[in-house]
Amino acid sequence: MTASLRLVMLLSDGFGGVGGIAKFNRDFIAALDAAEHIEHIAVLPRAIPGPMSCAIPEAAVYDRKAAAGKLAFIARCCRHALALETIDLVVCGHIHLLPAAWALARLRRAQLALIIHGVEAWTPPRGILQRQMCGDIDALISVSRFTAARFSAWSRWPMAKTFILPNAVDLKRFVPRPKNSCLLAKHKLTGGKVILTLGRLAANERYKGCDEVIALMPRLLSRFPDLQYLIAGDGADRPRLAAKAEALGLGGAVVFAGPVAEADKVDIYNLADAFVMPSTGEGFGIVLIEAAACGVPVVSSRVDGSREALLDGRLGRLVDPADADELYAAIVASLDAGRPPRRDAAVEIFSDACFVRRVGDWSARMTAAVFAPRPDAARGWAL
Amino acid sequence: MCGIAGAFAFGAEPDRADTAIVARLNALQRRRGPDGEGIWTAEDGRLVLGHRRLAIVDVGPGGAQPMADASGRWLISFNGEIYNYRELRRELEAEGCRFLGHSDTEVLINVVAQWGEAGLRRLRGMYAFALWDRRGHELWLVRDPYGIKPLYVANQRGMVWFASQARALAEAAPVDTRRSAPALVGFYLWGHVPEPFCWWRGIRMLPAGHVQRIVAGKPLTAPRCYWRPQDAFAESSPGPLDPAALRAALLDSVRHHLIADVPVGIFLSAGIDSNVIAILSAETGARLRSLTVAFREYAGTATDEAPYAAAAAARLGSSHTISRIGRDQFDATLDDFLRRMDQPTIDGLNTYFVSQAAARQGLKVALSGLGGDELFGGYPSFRQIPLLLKLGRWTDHRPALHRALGAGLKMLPLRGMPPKTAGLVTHSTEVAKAYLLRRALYLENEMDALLDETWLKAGLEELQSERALTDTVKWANGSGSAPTEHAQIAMLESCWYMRNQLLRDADWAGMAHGVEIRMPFVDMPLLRRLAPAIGSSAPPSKADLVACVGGIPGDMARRAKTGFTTPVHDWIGGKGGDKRGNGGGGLRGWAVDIHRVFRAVPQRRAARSAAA
Repeated sequence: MTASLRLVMLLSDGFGGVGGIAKFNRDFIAALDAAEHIEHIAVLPRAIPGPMSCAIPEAAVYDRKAAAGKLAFIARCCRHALALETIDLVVCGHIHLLPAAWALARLRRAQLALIIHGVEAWTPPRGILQRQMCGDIDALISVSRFTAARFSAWSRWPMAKTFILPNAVDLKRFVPRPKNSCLLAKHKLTGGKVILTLGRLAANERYKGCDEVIALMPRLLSRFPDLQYLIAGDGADRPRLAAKAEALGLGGAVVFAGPVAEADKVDIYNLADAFVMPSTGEGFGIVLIEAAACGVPVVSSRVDGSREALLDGRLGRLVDPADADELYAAIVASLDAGRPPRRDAAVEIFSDACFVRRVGDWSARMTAAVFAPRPDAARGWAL
Repeated sequence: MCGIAGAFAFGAEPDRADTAIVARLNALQRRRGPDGEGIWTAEDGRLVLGHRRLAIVDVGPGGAQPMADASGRWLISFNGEIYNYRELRRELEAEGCRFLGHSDTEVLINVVAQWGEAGLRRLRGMYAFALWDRRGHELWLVRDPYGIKPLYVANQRGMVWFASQARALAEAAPVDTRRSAPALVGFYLWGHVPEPFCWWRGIRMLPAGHVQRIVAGKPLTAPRCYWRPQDAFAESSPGPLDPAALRAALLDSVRHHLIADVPVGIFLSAGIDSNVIAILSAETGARLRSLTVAFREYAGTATDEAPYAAAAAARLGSSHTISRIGRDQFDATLDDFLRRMDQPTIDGLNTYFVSQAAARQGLKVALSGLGGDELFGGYPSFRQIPLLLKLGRWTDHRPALHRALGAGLKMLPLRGMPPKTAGLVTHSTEVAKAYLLRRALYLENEMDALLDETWLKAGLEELQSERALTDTVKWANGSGSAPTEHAQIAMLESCWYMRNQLLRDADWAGMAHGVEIRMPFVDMPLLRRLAPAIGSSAPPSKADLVACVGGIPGDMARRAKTGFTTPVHDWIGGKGGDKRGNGGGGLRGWAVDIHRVFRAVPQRRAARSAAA
């Protein structure tokens, strides 16, 4: 019988949540459940935005009361701070929750692990205390080396101590398929080549690069007259992008698909002849892997975390988003090459099984660290 | 005792059962029957029966299974022993039945062939079997009334798979291996998975004393109860039993349980029950070989059972072996212990070690004193539950006090307070509830820190523990009177703790070493003989047992019941478990660790499949 850990995990959202971070958290909890060294996980979500359709893993207790509001979240943290049960490790699922996680870990003399996902960790938090706390963690998980390096640059956290845990993609679900004729009709896609970007269209996420692709469309249309650019996703920035397309006289060549239901995502990817997202602010870019898993040629950025998601170019073409010629050439090359007969096997690196194995390795390391004699064991505050 | 397995394509699709799956089940159950293996496939391929053999009666090739009867109509795969097979054979021969060999298996076939379901109530023994009627295209799955032998069944889309071990089914058959919510919640509630639930969602235990008859081409019918221990009370009227009759009944059971064509050993401890079995075995003229497991940590302390057992063995002239287990041996065998554990349980270690010792002595069969506490009121529950009910009746008449106590105790548990204290008021109104309080590992309202509410809600809803417990104590004596509290507790202990924990652990832990454990106290004819006395106002006690058997020294008889204690919690603690107080320590901490181990079992299977 091996030693095991009891965890408290603070999350922004997970079960009932949407988006990459929520999915990462769900995958992470499921992988901890499968890990040999994990005994119990008490999960405190900051929010539960939607219905919880997935089963909660059996090692986890998902504290729904914590999601009732800020005060409720703090109250549930206090409950764990005062509880009788042992806490070995506090996992902070988002840098914004670090103050609560840090206080809980120090009060309970537990180790503290922080998970960073992307842009939120690239620059130091505004508060001095929160900045200090970032330097006072025991372990760091980053979804990419890129994000880890950016965090390391300002926090002085050693890169060598960072555990890189890329997001997982359900490779059984994201598979190559023929184009769905209903969706083609629904989005008024005329049967020519389609390039696709999928993402939130928020004003603070303009880094995804839709502007750059729209700007290139006139040139691309001269090469591929029936080309259409499908922008899937929704957000406050959509009217601006639509106006920009209109101003360039692109008319039906730029199509806004609106919000995409999770169930439709695979078909949406499979509408595309190339997935293009020349971003400058992706921590990782899970959509790039989903597109690659669907066998769609991918064009993305070499200046942010996308580069790692595309395995330094193995899974797609990398460009400098600021270089319009390079972006144009990559899109043209992708469209000329067409969709490959099958997806690249290298995408397996991002399979659920690999994710589970990596989390198992990490939990084994953390268990060794928790049960190793700790010279700094006295730094927590005894209650 | 053996391992059985099989697959039956009873529906329209598929039209064949997979022989490879049954062969794999056989392989996974190899330790249950190291002496031989058999697979039989029906002519139309719809049924495959598998068997692993531990040869004990008619040990030659004549006893091999799956076995057909002389007429060729019936085929069986059988796990267990029929102790009265010689008497039954004489009766059957008188009625014209023909036999090819000398095994109890062939007698069992003929009992069903000749007398149908009514014949099942004439069987004395422990059994789980699959019997195929070639003429009627019907498969019988049957389990003994106490539930000594397990039989797990899974059905999915027109197929039924069955096996002696749930874990084998989960690993080999294409069944739903997701977690069963009632099994998960039940494990924390009781420390074991209560039948008919099973750790894996797609598998169920055939309930004790039930028969399930599945006809090819017809819809699956639910298992039907043909016999239950409570029937012994319903068939009789309360009344005394004189010591001579008690002694004769016990001797008769022991004599039957000694029937074998191989040497039979005895698990001998410092307790009354195993010594009674040893004394009565000696009286039958059997050559005794006894075994005791003791722990090095306890050597020289009052907890050490070895000196008492050695002295008893010397008095009886038994060839005695003491197996001393230390931390090093525990560490060396823990992995195997956990691999052999069929479903999660917080017990079984002692049986595992003593069976290992028996196997090392070359024994295939051993008698155990298990079941004595249920018949002779040996558990603390026989004293504590009536006291609790008295408290319940007293507070019932003082509603204000009842409310105040309830509110006060709700604020518990406080540090240092026994965790189940809060249940004293809520669980003191009836025998079933008080029993739950007495035996529960965690009370229902304590589990929200352990399990997510989705698991808890689904699990508790399906378990319906209080209703199931109440059903256990629902019967009327033959005289029409209601059962006494003592008789109700005896049946609760027999049908819950003993069946789901002790008997199941005795099965997998014994079978881990190819040792058949027989329990003369767990015997329907004996219960029928004792039921009038157990149901009376003066039920037989351990003192009555000691008095009627004789030969048990006073110090042993007076020795306080300690239970079979092991230093396992200290050993586990050294590995980073209980020393931190996780799971509340003690058995609760051990349960959390066992759960952690069993969480991974399906994933390991998936990983193996992926690797393959």
